[in-house]
Amino acid sequence: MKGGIISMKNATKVLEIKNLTKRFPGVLAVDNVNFDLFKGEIHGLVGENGAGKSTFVKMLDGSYRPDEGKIILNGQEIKLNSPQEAAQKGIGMVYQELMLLPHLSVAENICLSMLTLKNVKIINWDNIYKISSNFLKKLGVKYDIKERINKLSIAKQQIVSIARALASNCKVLILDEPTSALSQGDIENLFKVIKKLKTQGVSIIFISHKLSEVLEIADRVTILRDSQKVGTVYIRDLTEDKIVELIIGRSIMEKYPRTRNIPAGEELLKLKNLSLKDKLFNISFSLKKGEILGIVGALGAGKSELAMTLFGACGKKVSGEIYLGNKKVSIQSPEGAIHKRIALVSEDRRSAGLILNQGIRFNISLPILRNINRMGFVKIGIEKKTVQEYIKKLKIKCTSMEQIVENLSGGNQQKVVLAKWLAANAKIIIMDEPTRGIDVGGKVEIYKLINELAQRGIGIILLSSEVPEIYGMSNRIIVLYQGKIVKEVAYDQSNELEIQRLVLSGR
Amino acid sequence: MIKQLIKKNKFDFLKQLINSEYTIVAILLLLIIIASPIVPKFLTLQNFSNILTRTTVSAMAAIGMTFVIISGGIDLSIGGMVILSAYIGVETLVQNLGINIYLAALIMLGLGAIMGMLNGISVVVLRMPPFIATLAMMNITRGLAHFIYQAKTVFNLPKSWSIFGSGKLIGLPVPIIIFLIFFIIAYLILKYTLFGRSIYAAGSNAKAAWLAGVNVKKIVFLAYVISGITAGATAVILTSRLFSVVGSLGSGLELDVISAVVIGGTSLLGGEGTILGSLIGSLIIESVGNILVLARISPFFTLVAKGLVLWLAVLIDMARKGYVFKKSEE
Repeated sequence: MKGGIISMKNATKVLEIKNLTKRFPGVLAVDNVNFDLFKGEIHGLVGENGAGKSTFVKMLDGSYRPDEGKIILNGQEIKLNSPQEAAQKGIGMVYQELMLLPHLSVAENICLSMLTLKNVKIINWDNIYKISSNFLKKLGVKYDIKERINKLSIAKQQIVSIARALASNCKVLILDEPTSALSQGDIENLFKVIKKLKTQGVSIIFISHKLSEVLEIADRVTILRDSQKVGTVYIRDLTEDKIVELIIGRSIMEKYPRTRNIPAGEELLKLKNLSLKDKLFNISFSLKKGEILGIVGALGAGKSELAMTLFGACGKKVSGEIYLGNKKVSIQSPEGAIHKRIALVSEDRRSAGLILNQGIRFNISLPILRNINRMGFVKIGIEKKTVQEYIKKLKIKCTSMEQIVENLSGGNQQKVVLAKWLAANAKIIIMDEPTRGIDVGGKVEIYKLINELAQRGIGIILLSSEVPEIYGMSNRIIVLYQGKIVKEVAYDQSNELEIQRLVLSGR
Repeated sequence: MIKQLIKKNKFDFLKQLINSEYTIVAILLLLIIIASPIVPKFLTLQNFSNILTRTTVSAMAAIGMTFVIISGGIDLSIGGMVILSAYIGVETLVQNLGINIYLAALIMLGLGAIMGMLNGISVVVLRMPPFIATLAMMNITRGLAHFIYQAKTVFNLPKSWSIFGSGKLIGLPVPIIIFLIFFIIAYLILKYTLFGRSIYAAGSNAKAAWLAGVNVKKIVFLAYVISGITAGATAVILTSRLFSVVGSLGSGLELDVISAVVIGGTSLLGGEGTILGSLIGSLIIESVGNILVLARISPFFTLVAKGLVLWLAVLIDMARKGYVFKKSEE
């Protein structure tokens, strides 16, 4: 897409933002930001978690009212009081969480704004179906519009969300992390749709953590750091490292601080023909002490299922053999897995990894309480000492060990998850997408931590859909495709491109 | 870095008070302070002792309810469990089976535990929504009690049975002593034990708790059993104090108890709440009833007042957590 940059001199400015500022009690969330957007432009918006991206775009779609500054749309200053108002004026937003109504049909979701208008007394279903299929056609896709939304894949739901934004005739489309839950193939489809919209004159603000995607699709990119704008730059003047530097305000020598001394350690784990009904087929591999085994696969390839199966979370549909050391074991429940010193850093840390409304101490000590109690009473002294130790070791930034984990940054939350398993003395840690949704600076810290753990002799199974991450971190790489292993290779016997191809096509 | 704009203002103290967990204690004190000069005979030792004794009934049932609600469920069958265990337990005494009062009390607790187990099985093993499972149990238990005993009033209880509801031991009313024993055990369990932690974890996020090695099914099951046991204990105190069993025994109790627990700051979404809060919540509800009686306001108004107290308490709690009256337009 680098060649497709529009000439900004002749282009019309659709949106101009001047000195936009937003304060929350005790926090300056967006500080004096200027921004402009041309007709038919794809404009990347990047920055670390907490840099102010979300607050910024929420002022553009009317969710927040700015404290200072102007929003100028097509040369006219506008004041937005609600997302509905923004939609009427032509600014639409697709949130990361999509916000579709799961039990309604595709058509109803697309035409939702028309269904809720005050003057609509009787719904003309023919019209609704016609309009919604038209919008899908505009995006170059064809779905069954009468299908219930929750029957569709996340990728398709994403497209429907975009169609819904278009249905209210939007000229400025804001996409918040649209690719975070998509597989590589789906991302390409999404990009096709975005490019199609671009040719139709829609301007797009594209928020993403994945810089390679921003580089691929955007014309310009605006970088936010600590609530302020660092700059707006043409993509052709940028490299990924340069963006990273702008985002975190310092240069990092290597994104993946690889250590990679091939371990000579003993075998910790061996799988023989592990299968999960309809999901995994004859998975066999082994894991050595101190090794980082990378397992890469697209969304739906069976990554998370493999992680859950190893952790005993898939119940009775599992067949095959698991050996720990030389002993054949059966892992029936997470409780049993933890007892065998296996840990899982799950894909979705907010819903499966942490008890969000509880403190750091509560979360870290939960799996080890069975070892530190007398007749069921928790030995609080030992508990606090242990928790303090791991907060220090992992450099968890917090006000106290009682701080509620919901209020921690993504990176620090993930550290709490890791601390929990280190405290539980895990010797095998399964990590499913451990850096998802974590900003660049936080990612590097997590990578360093993973290396440290491996050096201490812990066996790590790193599962990810991001090839560079797997390629950059692992000693050995396994490619998973449709529930089967299609390749197992040492990192230095392969290259990123080959792995990427295998992930996408299985061949 | 995020810029902190910390401002001191004169409302800070008030804000802190409202934000603190002790709001509920403040409400109770406020109620007492306002009522004392206005309502005759309110501020007397006799009356306070009366309120405390009456409170033991709902507060006892509230102990089990607190466990269930923190674990993420609800128990609507409390009133039903109370009347069924009351009828059967009292029957063993009346029939001259040679069963002494302590054994009869234990039978009531045991019956409560069994009914709690059935609730637990419905919710945990059969995966029924707790609201429906315990609603069914509420009807089945009360229905059985009425069906078997034809809703008869039983009063020929042995004299000794009155000890649990009206007796005194070392100068203290026995029901208060029984309640305190249950209360302290429950308080310690929730605050200091592995089981207590597991209940909060299971109620906050069952999946995450399970993946952290918590046996969520067992924990939730036990919560319902505890609710059954405290319902049995409620039956003991109630039948002893009334010295009879009537067909309407414990009817509507579950709603008073849920109100008390919620007023006490326990979240109906689970994962949050304290046993002390539930006690204070029960005290507030009983005090309101007591004040209305002493002030000679129509008894038909009691329900309105209880409803208003619940409404107000929830509103304050929501404000405390920032769901309402928020300044930003989020």
